[in-house]
Amino acid sequence: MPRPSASFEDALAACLDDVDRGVTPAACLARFPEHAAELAPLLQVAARVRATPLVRLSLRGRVQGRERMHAALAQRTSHQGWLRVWAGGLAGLTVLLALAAGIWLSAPGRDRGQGGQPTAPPTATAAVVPPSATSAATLTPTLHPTSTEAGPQVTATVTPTASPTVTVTPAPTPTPSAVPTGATPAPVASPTASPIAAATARPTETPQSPATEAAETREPTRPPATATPRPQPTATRSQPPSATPMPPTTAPTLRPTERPAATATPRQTPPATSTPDDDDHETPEPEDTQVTRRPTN
Amino acid sequence: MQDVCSDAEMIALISAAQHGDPKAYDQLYNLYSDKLFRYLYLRLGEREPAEDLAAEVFVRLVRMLPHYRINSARPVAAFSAWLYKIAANLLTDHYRRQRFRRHTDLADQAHLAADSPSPHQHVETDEAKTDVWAAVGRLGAEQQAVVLYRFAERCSLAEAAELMGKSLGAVKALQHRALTRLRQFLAQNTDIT
Repeated sequence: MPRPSASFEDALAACLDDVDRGVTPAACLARFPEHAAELAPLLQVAARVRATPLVRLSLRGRVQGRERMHAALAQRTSHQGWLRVWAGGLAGLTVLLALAAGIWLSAPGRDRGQGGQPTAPPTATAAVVPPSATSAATLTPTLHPTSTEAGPQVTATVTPTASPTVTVTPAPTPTPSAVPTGATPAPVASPTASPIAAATARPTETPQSPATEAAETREPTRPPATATPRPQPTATRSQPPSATPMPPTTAPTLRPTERPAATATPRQTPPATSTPDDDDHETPEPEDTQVTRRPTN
Repeated sequence: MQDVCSDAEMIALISAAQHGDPKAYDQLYNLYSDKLFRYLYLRLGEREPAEDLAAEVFVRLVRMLPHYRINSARPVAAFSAWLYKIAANLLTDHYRRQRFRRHTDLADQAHLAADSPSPHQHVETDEAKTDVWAAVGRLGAEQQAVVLYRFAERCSLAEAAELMGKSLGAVKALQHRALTRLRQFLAQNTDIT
């Protein structure tokens, strides 16, 4: 049926579809007599293109293309297999670590200083005990974990004189309550040898500074140095003891999660505890002790 | 489009391929390798790079098919359009590399300017060419595509519009202009010969 209102492009499209369905070109042109003169050569061109043999992949190109596709498929499958292996391995490792951690945490009699952290902030008490036999001040913070967990209490004793991280300087006037007599120095422990200030005991201050590490609240307390410190310098201390209190230094770094590293017990050290330092600062030999003595004001 | 399975079969085929079935990939290769090669060959005018790019289309297919979303409404047309889009992107990369090579190697540039035939001249010198395809090769890219889809692949207007991402009216207009120019080129060839 003629469609005189159809545009030429619509007429061409309709004729091409008709020819594709088997309608003869003459029949199509009869439907669009107003465009027949223009449509006829274009339908011939279209018929010529359709009659032209199509180019195809060569056999070699077809085989190579298929091989490349299968190689990519194998690579993808292999990659996914490795991903699965890695994922499985990581999952297994995570489970093993979790199990090991659980077993370790629940082990009875476990020393909390070995890395277990209390669930509640522990308190630490640092006690500076003036030495009597030696001039080494003893920093003895005691950790009292306040958690409800019935874990073992951390007990660590660190003698700054024995640790490279703590230097003990006897001071004659440690606190207002501590009245040194004459040139009798009071022991002052200050970290000088190590960038890690493990423990500092200054009798002139109330060491209520919290240890900020690992968000643990520690309250290092020192007993007042009421006892007249009478250090008796050992052979390693030839200089007179310092009467000047040390300036405020770093608060004791108390790590209840670690085993007491340095244990250099002075002769009259009361049972005090501390956890000042890493295992790297384990008890050195007394010869390694760094002692800083400051002149007395 | 001829030689393409039904919508349901295509959905099953794509799904199987997405799960890594090699046979499904083989079927997809059989369905589309010649079509894609013709598209690339028409644009490039050389058989060897066209075959290389056609193979690369299927490598990309392997990589990208797991992320392909099946269009349940028009699975065949949408998948075909997706494949041709991959081929078009590879063509763009190919042209870019060629342009870079020409700009970086002056000797090659001079050689190409003097001796290298244009793509449609390549078609004319290829063993499988005809004067018709040589004339088609002289058309613009979109006109080439519409001739390829409509008269070689026997796509309907709607399918061609889907493949080209154009409206029906735009495809009709392209078809008209392509046939008109093709007629001119063929007439020139006839006059020359």
